[in-house]
Amino acid sequence: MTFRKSHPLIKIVNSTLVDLPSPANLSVNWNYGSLLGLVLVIQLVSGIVLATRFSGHSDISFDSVISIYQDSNYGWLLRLVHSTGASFFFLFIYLHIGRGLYYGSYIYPEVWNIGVLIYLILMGTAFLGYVLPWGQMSYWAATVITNLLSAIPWLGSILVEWVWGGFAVGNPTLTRFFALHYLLPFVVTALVILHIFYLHLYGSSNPLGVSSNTNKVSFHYYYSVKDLYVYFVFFFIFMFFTLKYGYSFMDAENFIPANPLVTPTHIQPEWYFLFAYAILRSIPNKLGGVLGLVLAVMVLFLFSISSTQLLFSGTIYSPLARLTFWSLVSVFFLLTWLGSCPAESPYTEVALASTIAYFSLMVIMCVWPHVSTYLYLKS
Amino acid sequence: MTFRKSHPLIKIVNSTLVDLPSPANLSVNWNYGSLLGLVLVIQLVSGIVLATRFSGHSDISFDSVISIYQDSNYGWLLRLVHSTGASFFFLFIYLHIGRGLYYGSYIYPEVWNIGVLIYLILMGTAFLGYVLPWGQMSYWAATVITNLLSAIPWLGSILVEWVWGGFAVGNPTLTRFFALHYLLPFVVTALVILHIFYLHLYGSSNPLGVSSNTNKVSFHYYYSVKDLYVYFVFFFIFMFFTLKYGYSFMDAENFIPANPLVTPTHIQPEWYFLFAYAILRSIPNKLGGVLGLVLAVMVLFLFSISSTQLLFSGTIYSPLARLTFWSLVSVFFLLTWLGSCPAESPYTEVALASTIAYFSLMV
Repeated sequence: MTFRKSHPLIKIVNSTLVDLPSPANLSVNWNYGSLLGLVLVIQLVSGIVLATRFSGHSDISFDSVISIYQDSNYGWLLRLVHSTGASFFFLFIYLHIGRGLYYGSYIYPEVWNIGVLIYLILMGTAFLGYVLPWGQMSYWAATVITNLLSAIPWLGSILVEWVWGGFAVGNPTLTRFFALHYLLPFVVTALVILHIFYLHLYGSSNPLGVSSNTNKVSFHYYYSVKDLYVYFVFFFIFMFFTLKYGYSFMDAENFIPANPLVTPTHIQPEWYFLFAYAILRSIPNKLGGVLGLVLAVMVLFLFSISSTQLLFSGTIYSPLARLTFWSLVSVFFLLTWLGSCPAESPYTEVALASTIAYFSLMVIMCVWPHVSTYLYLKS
Repeated sequence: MTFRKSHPLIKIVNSTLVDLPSPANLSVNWNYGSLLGLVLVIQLVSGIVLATRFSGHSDISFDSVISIYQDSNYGWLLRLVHSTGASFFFLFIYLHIGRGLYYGSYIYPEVWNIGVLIYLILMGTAFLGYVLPWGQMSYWAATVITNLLSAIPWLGSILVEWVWGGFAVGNPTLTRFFALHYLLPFVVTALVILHIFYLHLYGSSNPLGVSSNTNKVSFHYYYSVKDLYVYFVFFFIFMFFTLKYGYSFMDAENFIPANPLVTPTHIQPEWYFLFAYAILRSIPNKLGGVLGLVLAVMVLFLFSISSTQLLFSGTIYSPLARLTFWSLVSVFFLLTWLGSCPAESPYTEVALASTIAYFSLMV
């Protein structure tokens, strides 16, 4: 037996990346998974090197970021890569989840649920990381988001003061956010390994939504080369974006050191959180808004009830389901734009309508597999 | 099939901790492995909570440690636990390696080599962690040990300035040591998983040194209970030591903030590094000393050539081999004591003799 199949450790790598039976017809939408793995590695490496140059203390953090730019070798590049990498991470995760919704990948409940968990922890990691430079937006975003915990009845204020390590966001908050931001990506890595483990129990789905057992190819060379090609395309786009438009995603407010006495006029998070931010602000009640925010992401967990016994092809064979999907995408874009608008009329009404549309469409999409199975059996 | 054997993920845990065929006659010397796992978890948890309260900057680190003691909830306890935990980690790893040398566990080369690698990375992690409080001993230990890199011919001084991030140990050194000290334990955890993976390909050895295929029991209840019992004993000893003698391992010099202009009279590392420190100082030549230091640990890798095809029982059936083993242990203790003595006569001569004895016995 060849070495790669007999060595007790190498054979695990072999069955994941070389001799893995894969459907012959995977489209570009199946590339996002491996792209996410690449961006995770980029973030880990750039993050750890940045950590060797960063100091976590409210008097020092802002200056240490400046020192990273001015004093350390290629510090500016690392910082831009890490900051842009986060945006690309979320871009690919939304495309990856979109592929999952469109093609009905949630029929593998463990894979799906671990994926949603990864998404949640990723959002936490990104939030924690944004606070570290201790600019105005870092400080005020931390204040706004941690204050949401106070909406929890009875335990709320104790909880939020425990998270702060004080009576407001301050130095203890920053030091613990740094420690947690360093820790969570390793948790994400472990979950990614589990995600792939469960996926390979079943095998990948494919764009036709039917069983691919009749036409499989080995992962190497076909998909290793395809992934590598897309890596190169990504590298070009990523580097172009980082080097030419690296500051386009950075909020101008974050170039001002944090000042607890001055609130910025427009507190808004990075683009990847804007849809949830819009939902949060659109509900007039504080606790209601927090619940809306939480449910906006947790609704993805609902899809594991959609797993049916019959092979399910997702939305592709139903024009109505496809319409629902693309409406959901449009509402997502609308909510993202609304998150960046001031919290005034007419935006608030539109946001409220969009929130209702978002949840309705999500629920319809969850329930769709059962409806379609029922209709099929009835016919 | 029962759930624990059929679930694709749980069955891995099952075959490691429940339905694992284990020799029936494992002695207490086989407990050190699981104890090491426990101490690793203790260090990870205490370390991460400490990291939420620590700031890494040369102007601030010392004060942040004081703040950990005075301002944060149970910070004093966490710091003592983490510091004492490191000592226990090394105690158990020396006992674990000793068991390996005595019973010839190195016949499993992958398990052995990964184990030595874990030991090396552990030493690095402990060194990095010691620098973080930025006391006098932190600063000067960092200076001494990083300066050893300058002994490397040709590349030495470039290398050491790259590690420092400057022309001497300073703030860049501290920030990168913090980041690396946070990272390496996860590497250790991954290696531990590999270590156990390879061990379970073969199955544990046993104190008789013969094949145990004729008499195996399942890990649960026998060894899960035994491990749990020893965990409780350890907990008692550990807590007693931490709470009553928590400062006994701390060097008094480290309670003084780092001062690049004042060198302490006796620079010495923690007890677990003293044997290597003695070897380093006993060789008059600088590069020779560094090589001695490195080889003192790397010599453990040599044992993988000892792996024979015949089932090997270690030292237990040969009085001469056992004598060699216990002489090695004595020399180890001697070197450890010598590491804490000033670098003067007559200690230097004794140290040189012990170094030679150490390497001879190992070979």
